[in-house]
Amino acid sequence: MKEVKNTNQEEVAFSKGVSRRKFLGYAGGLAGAGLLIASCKKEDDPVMPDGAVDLGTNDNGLLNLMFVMQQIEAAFYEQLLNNKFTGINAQQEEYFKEMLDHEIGHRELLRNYLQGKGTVVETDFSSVTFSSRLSTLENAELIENLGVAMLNEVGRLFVAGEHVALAGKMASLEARHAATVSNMISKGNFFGPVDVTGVEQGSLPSNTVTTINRFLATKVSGNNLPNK
Amino acid sequence: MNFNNIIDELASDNTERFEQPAHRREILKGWGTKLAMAAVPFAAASLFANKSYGQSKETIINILNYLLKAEYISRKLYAEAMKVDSLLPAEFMSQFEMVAAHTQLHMDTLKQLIAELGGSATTIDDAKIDLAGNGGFGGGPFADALTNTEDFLILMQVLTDAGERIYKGQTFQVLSDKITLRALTTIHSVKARQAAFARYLRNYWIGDDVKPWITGTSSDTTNTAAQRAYAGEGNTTQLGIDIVGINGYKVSTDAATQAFDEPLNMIEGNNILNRFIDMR
Repeated sequence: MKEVKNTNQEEVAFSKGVSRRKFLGYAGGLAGAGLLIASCKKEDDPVMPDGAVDLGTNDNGLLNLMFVMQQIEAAFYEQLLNNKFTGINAQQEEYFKEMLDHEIGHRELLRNYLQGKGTVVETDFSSVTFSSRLSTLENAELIENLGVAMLNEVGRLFVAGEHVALAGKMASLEARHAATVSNMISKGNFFGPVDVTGVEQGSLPSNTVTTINRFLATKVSGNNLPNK
Repeated sequence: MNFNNIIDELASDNTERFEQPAHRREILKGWGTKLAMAAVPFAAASLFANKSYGQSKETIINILNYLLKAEYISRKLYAEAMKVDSLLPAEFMSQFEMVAAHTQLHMDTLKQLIAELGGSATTIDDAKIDLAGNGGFGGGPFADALTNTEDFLILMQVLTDAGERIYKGQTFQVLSDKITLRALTTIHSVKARQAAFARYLRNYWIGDDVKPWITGTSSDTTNTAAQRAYAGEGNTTQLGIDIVGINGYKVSTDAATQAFDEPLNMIEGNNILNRFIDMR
């Protein structure tokens, strides 16, 4: 993935063997306990790339995050179908075409619902080797799993019930996608992200943003999104 | 801690580890005691949830007991199916064991939420569950589910597709209780994965023409008793916006219905579930 340059101050913070992403993991987990919030001033935030587009605040910001995610998903399947990996079979191709149509439906719904004010992004899939079956499927799996985790978490962060309902309507379909892709990689694998308590944990907007930026030429920031 | 695990997995670029059944089993085995620890912050956080505005505790407890009923039925189905010789494809036995384990964990979570809200969890005796779907009166549309693999998979598909929709229908009924809301959303996607698994097996093992997702109101079976689990799935309008051909894209009616799974409300859900409960 492409790394984002940090200021000297942040380099020091991250030089002690704790990866940036790992730090985010800790921060996300602890945020619920009310720790670390005070120390996370915006200007210190290690994930805010220079010139990143702010996704906004409140329900609209979360819908905007969903809109960016759907742009990534649709663009990914478009590229997949334009550069089909060796060994793709007819059923897989049919499924990917349908998955693309689903993601376009999601994307365009959110574009219209946000009344043209959503953040339109340019994707960057240079880290994906579309000619390689494994690279393609593993990245598809990562994106779909993250899509589910993101939707599982925003449900709780939304204020409006109709937005909670929308996230749910999309989440279960993305879970069907994710399971279908995982099963293509390893037959019988449908439950990868299900944890020891039997649930599929959510991904906070801040963590989601960090991961999706690796697939974006237009970097985004979720610093003002509801996040705890 | 589980939250951090998933982030680490995503960050590591190594999804392989997650996909090895042996590894998952190891996690399931070794983490029993840690589960109890994990439940502590869960309980503490619920203290705040109890001070919820909006939905009353009674309303939420009632919802949780309704979801619990769905889990009782599924739990019996998997437990009984695993007792029948060669009903389940041996190749996928570890996945069925996982589905059964997840179902039990979902029950545990629901019961814990009910207890934290000061309610009492409904108990349904296995003997009072009629997997044939005829209210205990004998016969029934799913009478062959424990003797014929295809019929078993059809019933599993119906219960998981409906289950996912039943959970979805309650997420926005518990808005004021964020702990319960999060529990329902994070269980709900697991039900969808189970549905994708059942649908895959119908296609791969039986040879039925069934996709991983729901198309229109089709139950993908000639068993008419399955139909009520698919009512309302033909919706093509979301938030007042028509998805078919949206913004000039070739999104077909089928694709527009597949792209969004629709919620079932409690009346619709009970109409599906109560047929599996002995009413005599």
